[in-house]
Amino acid sequence: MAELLRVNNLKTYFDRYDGVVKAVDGISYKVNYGETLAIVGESGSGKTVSVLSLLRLIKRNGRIVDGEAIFDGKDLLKLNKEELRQVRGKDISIVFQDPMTSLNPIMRVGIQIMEPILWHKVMSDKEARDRAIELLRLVGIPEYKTRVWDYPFQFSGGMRQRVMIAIALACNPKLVIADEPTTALDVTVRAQILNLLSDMKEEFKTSVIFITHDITLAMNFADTIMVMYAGKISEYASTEKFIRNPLHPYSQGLISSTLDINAKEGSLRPIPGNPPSLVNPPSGCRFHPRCPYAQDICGEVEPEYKEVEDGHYVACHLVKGGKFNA
Amino acid sequence: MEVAINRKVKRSSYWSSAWRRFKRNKMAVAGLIYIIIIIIVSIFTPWIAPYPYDEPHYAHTFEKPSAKFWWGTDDLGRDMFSRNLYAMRNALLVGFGSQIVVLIIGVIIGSIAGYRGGMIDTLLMRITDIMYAFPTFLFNVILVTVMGRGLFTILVAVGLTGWAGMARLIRGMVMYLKHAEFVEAARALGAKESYIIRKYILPNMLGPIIVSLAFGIPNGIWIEAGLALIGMGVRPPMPSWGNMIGAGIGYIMGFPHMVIFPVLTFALTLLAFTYVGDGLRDALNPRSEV
Repeated sequence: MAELLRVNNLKTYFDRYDGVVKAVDGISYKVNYGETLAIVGESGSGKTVSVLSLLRLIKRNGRIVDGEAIFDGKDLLKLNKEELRQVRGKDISIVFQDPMTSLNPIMRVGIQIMEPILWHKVMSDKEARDRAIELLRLVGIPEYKTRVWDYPFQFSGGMRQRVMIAIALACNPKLVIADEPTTALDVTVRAQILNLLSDMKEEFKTSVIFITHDITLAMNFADTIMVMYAGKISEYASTEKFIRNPLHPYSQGLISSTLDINAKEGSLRPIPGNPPSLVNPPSGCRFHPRCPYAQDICGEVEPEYKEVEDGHYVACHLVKGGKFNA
Repeated sequence: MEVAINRKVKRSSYWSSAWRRFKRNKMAVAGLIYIIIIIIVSIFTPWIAPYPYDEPHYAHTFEKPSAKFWWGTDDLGRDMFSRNLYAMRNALLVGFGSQIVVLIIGVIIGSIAGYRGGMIDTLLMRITDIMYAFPTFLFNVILVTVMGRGLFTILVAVGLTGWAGMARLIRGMVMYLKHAEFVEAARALGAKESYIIRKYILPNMLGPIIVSLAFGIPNGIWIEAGLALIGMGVRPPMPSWGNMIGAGIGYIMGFPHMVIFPVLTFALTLLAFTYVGDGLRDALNPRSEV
């Protein structure tokens, strides 16, 4: 499969009163055409920043210190403002977390679907209108022909997220970034939205970066899983390899802290402790204060992020020869 | 680039649902009708008023309401009804005009402070705080004394002293809206900044601005009357509710009509604007029920 996006050594820092927050500290990953990459991590692990940095959608006190992001042959981080605006929404679009606040409350949803099409001059006004109706049909809004001219407050949360997906797909983007698209929704609606996302991915042949804190969702939905911890990638593997052989103790911890209905009593083991401060991250491996297998070397030397088997990357001292040796 | 709204589509919109909510408030509707009537009357006052406001009838001083003088006459025999119409016209001019001044200053200062932030914000907001803390009425008296006692200078003075609240309101909304999620979402999808300001930020501020203006108008009318009452308003013989009430109060025992009619219209007008403001506040709040 051909590469759509390659991120090399991306570093995004935030200046704060108490120091520099190294939210993303030298990460590299890639997304192929048609691939779904899930970025998994706790709050503050840098998963959202690592992706929003690509479009420079970070707060004013944030800065991209280093790195490159080759998307479709050009480096996103070197684009000027206008070139970047052309990429936003057209080649790369985003589905945001909270559909209740991500739509303009006083604008008809149809117009909001048409907006990116017209901003990027993809088609005429008339065509955009038909496209908006067609998109609403595709994302499964009942009575889409009349609903298209309704206002956001006339939609439920799940419906709004469908509208958000329609907006994201309006320009037929090459890459859709879904930033925790189901976090703000009812559990019952989550599965529907995820199914819709995967259907749309097939329909539009886009790649998807799916940001989530829910490892089970990632394992069900993604082709590739990337686990982030404290601004760094701890493990990167195809979903199949990841499920079969999670190597990093943090990945193992994430998996064993999820509920499994068939599991024996006592198998739910949360990861002790809290995510570290990114102003003064722990020395060595950033996970070592919480790692049940930590050894002396873990606190002293930062583990190398290396390929341990074909397409399976991990950053841990205890992984040797494709196996975890505690 | 504009996004054309399909005009054929029925406007079951923000504004029509706001109107539906507004209609449920009977007092607000009554107030609105009253206000529309007095605005029309004020526009056509020179043709409606039976007499000029400054025409004395020395044979008819202190006359009770009659067919000839509907609301009676004052100490110089001037027709109270005509004078009331002119007073109302002046009051409305000051009420609306001052809010235009408030809107202009408030929008400029509030949006610059909110949008730019940092030092500019701090500087502008400290100026606003000073304005807010300064005794408004005293400042008005000073301004009118300096600039003269014309209707226009009163209007400007009321506006110049009343913009602090509007500036704060707009600054707050701009600060929220410029990083509101739907604005960030539009940015993320490639919207231009000018488009965001026109289609995302300004329209979303409109409701609270209208409500604030609706409450500002009676305040302007109130200050205008207050200035006239202490002799700092429009120059006689031009009538104002303030100077009419001030003159009539001396004769309240013998000739109550000289004070009752101006007080009644004055009070009714203030009430009407306040009720409409109330109704608008409920109707334009996007969080109130549909």
